[in-house]
Amino acid sequence: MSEPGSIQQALSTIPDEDLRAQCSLLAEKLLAAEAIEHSSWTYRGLGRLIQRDAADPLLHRCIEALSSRRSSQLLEMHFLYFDAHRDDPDGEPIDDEIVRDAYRAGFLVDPHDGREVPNFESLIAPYFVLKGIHGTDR
Amino acid sequence: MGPTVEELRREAQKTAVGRLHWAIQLWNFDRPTYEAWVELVEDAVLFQIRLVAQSKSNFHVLGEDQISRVIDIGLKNLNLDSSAMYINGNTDITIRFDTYCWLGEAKLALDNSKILHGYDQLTSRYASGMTGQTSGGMLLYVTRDNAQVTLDSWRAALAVQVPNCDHRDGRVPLTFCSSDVCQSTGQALQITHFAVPLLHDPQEAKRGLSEAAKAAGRAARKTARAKRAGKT
Repeated sequence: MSEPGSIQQALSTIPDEDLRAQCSLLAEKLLAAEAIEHSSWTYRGLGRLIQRDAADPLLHRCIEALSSRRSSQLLEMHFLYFDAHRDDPDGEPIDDEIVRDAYRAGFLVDPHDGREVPNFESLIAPYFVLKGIHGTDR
Repeated sequence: MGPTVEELRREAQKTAVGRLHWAIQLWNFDRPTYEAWVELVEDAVLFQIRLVAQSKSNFHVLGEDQISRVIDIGLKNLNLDSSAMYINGNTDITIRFDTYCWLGEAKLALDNSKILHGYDQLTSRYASGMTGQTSGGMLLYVTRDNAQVTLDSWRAALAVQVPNCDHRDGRVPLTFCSSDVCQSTGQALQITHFAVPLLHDPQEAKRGLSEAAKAAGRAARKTARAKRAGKT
């Protein structure tokens, strides 16, 4: 994980004032000691940290800036799988390699029974961990 | 359940920048081919060129280094891993993802000899020619002439200088593409040439209405008044 100071410095070059402020706030919350004890977040969980709805486009841009930009990468993206045949509203973490294989093949192989699941993007949702830490709380 | 990937993708499709951001965010899972990656990188470069051209009054006096740094900052803000470096009097922009690399050579397009110097640096000095590193671009900052005229002139000069360059139209106006061979690996290099229109020569203070134009205006006014008087 990059140093907090260098992340804040990288975020300071974002020209959009609202985005810059929200990214900075989210990074601050994530790096706070109590937040580090919490090991993973969905879009909803990250939105709660800065009082933004999970569907808010500004939250999405913040998450992109903190997970995609090399200079300010604080978050790593992974995925939860919501099996349509099980009653599991929380989903379950799915191995990154299964998702990569799904994009290569065009279908996801269900980790429990090996079923081929087409249109799998409607059954996976991103969750994030601090870079270098792979957790499962949400 | 947070938003699914399908929902996030649908939301991202609403804007060009959204599409770009989302594609970049998924690259670690939905890895593009090198060709698809280059197309996306060049779309991002074109997006930044459009922004710079829209503010040409601010940029036409700057040197290539400063303009390149502005473009580099814009590319970083599109979440690309971009860097601009000033080496031996030339600025190049490097964009990377994993093993992929795209090199951009920036030149003030003052004459074709200067542009060729940059082109030779790009194709012989910087390009590695390794797999996933065979595409790049020439960013021609055109401050003193019409951008299309400058690009056409350079294209004609390149066709003679590099007879096998296979020059062809680009995907969008003010671009063309060509090929070359990397000296060190023998691999084909694909180069996109971008003209960045920065000529800023406002005409409003220079050009007055001609006598003939003034006379035409007066005659039309007179005719219109006569028509109105006839109706009443």
